[in-house]
Amino acid sequence: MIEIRNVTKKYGDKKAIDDISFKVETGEIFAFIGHNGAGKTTLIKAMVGIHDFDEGDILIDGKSIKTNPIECKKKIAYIPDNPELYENMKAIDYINFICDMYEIPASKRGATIMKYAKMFEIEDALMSPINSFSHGMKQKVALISALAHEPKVLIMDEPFVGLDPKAIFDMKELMRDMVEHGGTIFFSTHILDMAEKLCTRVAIVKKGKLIKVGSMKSVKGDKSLEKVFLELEK
Amino acid sequence: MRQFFVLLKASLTEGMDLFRVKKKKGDKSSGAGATFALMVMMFFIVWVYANSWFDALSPIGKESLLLPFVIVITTIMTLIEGIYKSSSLMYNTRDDDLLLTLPIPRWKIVALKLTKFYLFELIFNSMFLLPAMIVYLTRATIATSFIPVSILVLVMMPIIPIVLSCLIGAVISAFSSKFKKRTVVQVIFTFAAMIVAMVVSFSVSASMNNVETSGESIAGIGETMAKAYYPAGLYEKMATNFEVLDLGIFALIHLVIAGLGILILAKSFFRINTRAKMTDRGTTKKIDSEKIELKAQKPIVALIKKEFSRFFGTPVFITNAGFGIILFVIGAGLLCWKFDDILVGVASSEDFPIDIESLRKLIPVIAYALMCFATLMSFITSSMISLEGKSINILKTLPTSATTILRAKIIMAMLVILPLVLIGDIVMAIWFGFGITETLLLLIGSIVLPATMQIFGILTNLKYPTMDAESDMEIVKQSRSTMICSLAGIGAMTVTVGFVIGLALSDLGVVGSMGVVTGVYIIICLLLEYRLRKVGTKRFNEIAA
Repeated sequence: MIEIRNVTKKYGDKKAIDDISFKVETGEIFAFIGHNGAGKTTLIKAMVGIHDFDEGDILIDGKSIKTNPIECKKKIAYIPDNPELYENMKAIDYINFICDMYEIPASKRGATIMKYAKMFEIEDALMSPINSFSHGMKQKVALISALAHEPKVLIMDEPFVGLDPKAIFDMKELMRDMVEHGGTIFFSTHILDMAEKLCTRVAIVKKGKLIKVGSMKSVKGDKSLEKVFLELEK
Repeated sequence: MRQFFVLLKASLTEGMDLFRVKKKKGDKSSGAGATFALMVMMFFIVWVYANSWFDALSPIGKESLLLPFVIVITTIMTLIEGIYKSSSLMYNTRDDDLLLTLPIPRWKIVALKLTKFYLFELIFNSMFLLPAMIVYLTRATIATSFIPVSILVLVMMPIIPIVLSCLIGAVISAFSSKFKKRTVVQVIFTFAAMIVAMVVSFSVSASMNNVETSGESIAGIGETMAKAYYPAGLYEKMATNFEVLDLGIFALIHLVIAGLGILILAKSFFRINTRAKMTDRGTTKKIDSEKIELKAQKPIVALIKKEFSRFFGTPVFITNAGFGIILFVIGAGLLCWKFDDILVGVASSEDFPIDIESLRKLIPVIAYALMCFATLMSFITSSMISLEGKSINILKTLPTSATTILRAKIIMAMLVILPLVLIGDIVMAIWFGFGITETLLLLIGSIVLPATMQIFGILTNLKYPTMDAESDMEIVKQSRSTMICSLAGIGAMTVTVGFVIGLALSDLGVVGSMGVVTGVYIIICLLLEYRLRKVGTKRFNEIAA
């Protein structure tokens, strides 16, 4: 579903991502881990069309984000680590705006939005402006708007930051449910225990280079993911 | 004091985007060259005007009145602009959380914000004051004290209008924060304060009987201004008859006002800032989960609505965009109401040898010139990319083309500008009985001219984006993009008005003149639209936030 082909991204002379290649198959929950500044967010932003990249290609469901950005974006939902939403809008208006952009029929919106709003316990705040929300509530609005168009691919950058324990639990359940129904999830995280329990495959990046990729079992062996990660980062 | 300068340095490094010469990460523009080129152009225009005023005053031996004349004009401009800048600059800025947690007294935070405001205004006041001072220096007989006195005046002149506008801004912020719809209240009171400031300022020059450029008229205005604004009169006195005591009084007035301003603003800063940060929690109405009905719209409509929500949620954005249009409505009203008086006044002028009937035929061109003033000076789009800030990433991940996103911004700007301008056009056309061709050309011009400038605005903002500003005010008023557009707008307006009137007085006539100018703008508009599609979308995708 996602194919990263020899992607390189430079900032001046510095390579933020250096010739990275891997695939994420349909039905996988894929963890992307690395230190701060390793290049995780840069690759994620390239995958969702925020950044351009210098070499290589990124394919979403067989289509290039470079040459077919709109087709690719229709299949993706992106949740950033620090959701910057349109703060002057009410939560419901923002979610509806995103639905408009994905051209979701009006008849399908209400039920889907309310399902996720109830799940994340935010239905009572939907009529409030986003600028009155906490970080966690904004993250929930970002999640609902991302899920409202029922994407095939969910790409998330540190999705659990700022969420309360109940929302984290629901989020994990939702991720499992999504892949069971043929979805694909790719996310970066620093919470290695969670990645170990939740993910089927993992990639470890260091200073822009991919140093390990494979199934969770093959990467960590008998050790914990945390131990393997710390050993590789030495 | 060292602590204050460390803070100021850090704050200026972040905030003075306009004068940033070094390239930032991902910035492919050529630095501050364009800004400085346009500032030099502005300097030159004022220098030409200052010379003509000097020429008019010199024969009657009152050339020193040039100085209070220019100082008062600059002070009024700073005061009016400061009123709508100050609330956004002083309160609820991005660095507030950091500043308020530092172990520094609040007066230092206020002083820091005022100093930043002051430094910016100093640069722009200099564009107006320096040319006049240089003209006086080179053409009048001066004492050696003139240069140091002028330097001190230049440095101190922005203080009073800045402090005054910040105090007015504080009152407006404090008052509006009591209301649920504080943005609306803030905008209304800011407009009211600006209009009051304008009326008071212009009533100062009540002695001005007509708009002739004769020496007596300018001298009359200059004398009135020197009397009405004490520091301006003091400067004129020092320029002709220097006394150390006057210099001391001048410096003392400004320093005391600065000190008092800081103390008063610091006393109320925390309370007003806290209230300004409190957000409207909206309605307590809850959604009925069983009956939720959401309206679907086309992506372009949804984008335009989103732009409106940003526009109406940003007071400084509304006041900045709305002021020129409101002035157009006032100007159009005055033209209808007072046209005969203006006509008689101009026709009786010795400097403008034209009869009343010929002047009457020029009314459509005068209406066109008025429309140029409103539409060529309104740059809503010049800050719309920057105002996205980090939320630009939302747009970049949407399954919509960059062209659609940029068009939505231009359409929103046009929808803000057009209604009042078109109504003003129609009122003038009916009142003065314009012919169909003249009315059509005026209406077409009213669409094409702002469209041209809005496309230019967005192209400029795409080239010079400010994605990390500390406040909306910095983007709307002090960013490189808006400054380039403002100066370009002044240039475009001067040239267009000159051409439309000049061509109307030639064999081409009124309709020919309006037709040629409108035609030229249609061509420019199409070329800019082509550039927006070719280059604009590419630049949009390159912007990093």
